[in-house]
Amino acid sequence: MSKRNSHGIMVLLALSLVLGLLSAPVYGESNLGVGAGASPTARLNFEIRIPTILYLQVGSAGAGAIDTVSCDLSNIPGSGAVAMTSTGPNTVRVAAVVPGTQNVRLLANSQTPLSAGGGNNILFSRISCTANGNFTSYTFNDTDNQVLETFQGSGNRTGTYAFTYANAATDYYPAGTYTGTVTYTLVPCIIYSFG
Amino acid sequence: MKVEITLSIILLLVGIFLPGKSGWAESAMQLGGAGSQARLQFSVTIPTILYLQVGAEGATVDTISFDAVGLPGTGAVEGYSSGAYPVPVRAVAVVAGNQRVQLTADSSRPLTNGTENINFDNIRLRASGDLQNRNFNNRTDQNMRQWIRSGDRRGTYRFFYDNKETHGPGIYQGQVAFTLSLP
Repeated sequence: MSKRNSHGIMVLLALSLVLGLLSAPVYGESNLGVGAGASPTARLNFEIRIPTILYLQVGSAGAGAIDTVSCDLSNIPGSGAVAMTSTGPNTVRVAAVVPGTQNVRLLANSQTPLSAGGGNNILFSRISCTANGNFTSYTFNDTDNQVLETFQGSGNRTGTYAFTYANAATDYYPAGTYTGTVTYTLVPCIIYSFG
Repeated sequence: MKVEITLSIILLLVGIFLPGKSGWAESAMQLGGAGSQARLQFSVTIPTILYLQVGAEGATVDTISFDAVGLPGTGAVEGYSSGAYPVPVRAVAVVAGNQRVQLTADSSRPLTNGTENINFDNIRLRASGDLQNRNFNNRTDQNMRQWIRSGDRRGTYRFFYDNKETHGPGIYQGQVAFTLSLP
C-alpha cells in the first residue's frame, strides 16, 4: 500500500469515527476529549443497600426443619440427670446485621409445658441446657420471654446446645410420652438504663 | 491625485486581507495553444481524539445498586443499573501510530452511609467484549485496560458485591470515575 493510500485510509477512519461520534445518541456519561492532553472521564455511581438482617438457627438449618430433642427414662426419679439426644445437629447460630451497637436478644418461650395428654404435664423447667461457643447455659423458666442472650452489634455467633432432663427426686410423673415445643426468637432491642 | 490615493488604499486593503499564497488556488495563464493548469492543495488536520462512554442513554450518571439481603458470607450479589445492564462501555481513540491508550478507574473513595464505609475492593467487574475482568482496588489510577493504536473498543461490565464483610444496615453510596488517557 502506498504512503498516500495509507494516509487516505487514516483520514477516512478518523473522519468516520468523528462523524460517528457526532451522530451518536446522547449518552448519560460520555465525554469527548480532543488534543494531546485529552483525558475524557465517565462516572458510574454505586449503591449498596443493606437492610437489618437477623438470622437464627437452633438445630438443623432451613425453614420448617424442627428437630426433636428426646430422652428415654429408664431409671427412677432422683437417680441423676439424663442426657437428651437430638434428631438434628446441636448447632446454634445467631447472625445479625444491625445499626451500630444495637442489641440483639435471644429469647425462649417455654411457657407451654410438655404434655402426655389427659392433663399430665411436665414443666420445661425440668430441662437444662449446657451451651458452648458464644452461648451461655440456662435452664428453661416456663415463661414466654426468657432472655437467653444479649449480643451487641452486628456479628455471627455460633455454638452448641446440649440438653439434660433433671429427673430429680421430685419428678414423679405418670408414665407416657410427653411432648412440647420451645420457640426461640431473635429480636433487636434497645436497653434503657435508669438511675 | 485623489484617484491615485484611492487606488493605493484599495490595493493596500487587498494586500492585507488576502491570505498567504499557499492558501489560494494556483492560477496560470498560457497564451497561445498550450493548456492551462491550476492546482489545489488540501489539508485535513486530525487531532488526538479520545471518547469514553460508561453507561447507557440518559442525561444522568447511571447508578449500580446491590441489594445485600443475605447474611455476609452467603455469596456475592449482582448489581442492577438505573440504565442499561450489563453496563455498556465504549472507548474510542484517534491517536498517532502505535500510541498507547489506557482506561483507568478511580475507586479510591469508599462507599459510605454517613457513618460507615465500604471499600470498593468489595466490588468485582466481569467484562465482555474488548474489556477485561477486574476487581476495584481502591486506588486512584487502576489500570482497567490498555490498547495501542486508534480504534473503537466496546464491551460491557457486570458488577458483583462480594458481601463478605459485616457492615451495619443502610444505603452506602459512592462513585467511580473512569478515565481514558494517553499514558
